[in-house]
Amino acid sequence: MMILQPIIVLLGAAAIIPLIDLLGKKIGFEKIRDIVAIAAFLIAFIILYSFFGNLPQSFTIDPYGPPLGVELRVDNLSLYMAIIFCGLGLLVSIYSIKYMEVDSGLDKYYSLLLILVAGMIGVAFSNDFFNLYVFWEMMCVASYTLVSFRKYKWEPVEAGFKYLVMSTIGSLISLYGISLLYGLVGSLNFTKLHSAIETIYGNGSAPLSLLYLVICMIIVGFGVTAAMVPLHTWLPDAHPAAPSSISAMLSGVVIKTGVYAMFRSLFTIFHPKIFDFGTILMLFGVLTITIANFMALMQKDIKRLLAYSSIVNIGYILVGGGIGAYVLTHYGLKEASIAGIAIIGSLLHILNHAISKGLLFLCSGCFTHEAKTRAISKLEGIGKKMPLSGLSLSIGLFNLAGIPPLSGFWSKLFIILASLSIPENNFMLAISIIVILNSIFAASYYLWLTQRIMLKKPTEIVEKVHEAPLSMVFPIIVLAILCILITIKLDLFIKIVELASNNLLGGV
Amino acid sequence: MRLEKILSIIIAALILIVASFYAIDFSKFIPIPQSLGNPSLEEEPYFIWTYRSIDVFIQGFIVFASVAAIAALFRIEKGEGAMEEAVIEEPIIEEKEEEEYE
Repeated sequence: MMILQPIIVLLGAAAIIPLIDLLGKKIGFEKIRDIVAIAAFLIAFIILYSFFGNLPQSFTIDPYGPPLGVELRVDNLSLYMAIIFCGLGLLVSIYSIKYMEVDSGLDKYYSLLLILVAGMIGVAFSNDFFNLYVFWEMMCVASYTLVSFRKYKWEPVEAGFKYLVMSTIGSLISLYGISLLYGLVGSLNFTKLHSAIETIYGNGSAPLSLLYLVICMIIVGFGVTAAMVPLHTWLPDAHPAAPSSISAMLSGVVIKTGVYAMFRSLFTIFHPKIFDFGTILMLFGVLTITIANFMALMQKDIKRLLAYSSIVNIGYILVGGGIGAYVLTHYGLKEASIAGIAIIGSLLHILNHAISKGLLFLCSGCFTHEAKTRAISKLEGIGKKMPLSGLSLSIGLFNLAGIPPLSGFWSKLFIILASLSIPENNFMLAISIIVILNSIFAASYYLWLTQRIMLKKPTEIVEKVHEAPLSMVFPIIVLAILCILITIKLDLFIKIVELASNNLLGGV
Repeated sequence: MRLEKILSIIIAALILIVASFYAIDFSKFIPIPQSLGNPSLEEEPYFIWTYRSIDVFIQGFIVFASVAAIAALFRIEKGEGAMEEAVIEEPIIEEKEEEEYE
């Protein structure tokens, strides 16, 4: 039952917040709903933290367990992801107290934010494909609305609708893939699917092309939410249009849920030694990094630039996972350590990007909250007027640029090292050269943005601004400290990520 | 003082709800079917409420989320809301065409 607790706490709070809001209005203290949301996130975070050391754990309703019943399972990987989701949710809810106070309907906002995080944690805990899909849909419904929350402007409505259409098509593609798997095996439990697919491949009872079709459907279906090029077109519209607190959630964790669902289903069900999905992931990853990098360079809107940068970083994560799978397919277990390094790099980059991009979007929210504009040209020199936000933004940008010794450098280094560790393989050499060149290219516009924000003479608009309120600056400082803390305690974080990567490669 | 009391009661209630999940075995509330062999939906009409009860519970919350979403999008806005100037990259196409026509 313990596994369900963080989800039930978040959903319970989501259900009671509208009533709490009514109570708050009665007593003249509306912020009570914000406090309840923060308390729920905090309780869920504490429960998740208490899982450490007691893993893996499974939950089924006796006697209705697998293969027919639902199974929730927590291992190091799902806990790692869930803690990132819940942690960022907690900071975003604190940030929202002041940032969202100009808006009405905040009871719905907090309810949907709690449902969003509950859905993501549910996806991480699911050990059953249909259950994963149900949690996935819950997450999606909440995220569409949160993107369009400021519906009094044209931009969020258009972006939300685009996101709704594209994400729904993606979800349906993945559902079709799931239904094909159910038709082949008669169960949707991951553990059962893992052994059944191997048996089906062994006795040739299903054509290989059908199994590859399922793999492609899973990659494309979850790839829409992961914002993988060419399925990314919703993201550059949705992330800038959403309130900055929601942009931080979307870029920081929601798109990672897509990557997690993709990695978890592919690595767990389809044995990388048999199915070469690593090549597909790598090619998509490289395409994603390259195209998004060029697009980012052309942006004049700070949030739009950060949105394209999110797509770039999803590319790195996909390349890392792809290298891990590719090595296992073509070199077997004798090079399993290289696969492990690539997966560690990929998972560490998930953490780095979640923290850094959350930080950057919250910082841009502080800037737009004070200066009322998203144009980089008008935000020049704002770091001098808002030193805490500006300095935090610089730390986040340096981390994503991969400036040593920050942890962003190490996660990219692991991915590149893994690709260079394979001898006499021109394909992998080409992949690593493209990734290295793109990393340098990306660093250039991160540093360009830092220079514009921190070193330029303040513009006329910027001259009038002041530092954002404390409740908005506090989560930013926490995230900036986390960027540095991961660097200082890198060995500890690599150990945690290594345990998570072992779970991902556990089926191998 | 009154406000603090209400706050304390709410947070305490939340903590109690969390704590109650340690004590209550929710599987006791679900009826156990006669046969546990390999049920089909026709043979076992309560399959959805037993084997897939967690899915049903979450689907209920999807409905709740949808209601919250619709309520959020149809709410009456008070005040101006957030002022945030977006960057428009290109002039609107119709304007271009009008200029050319003139």
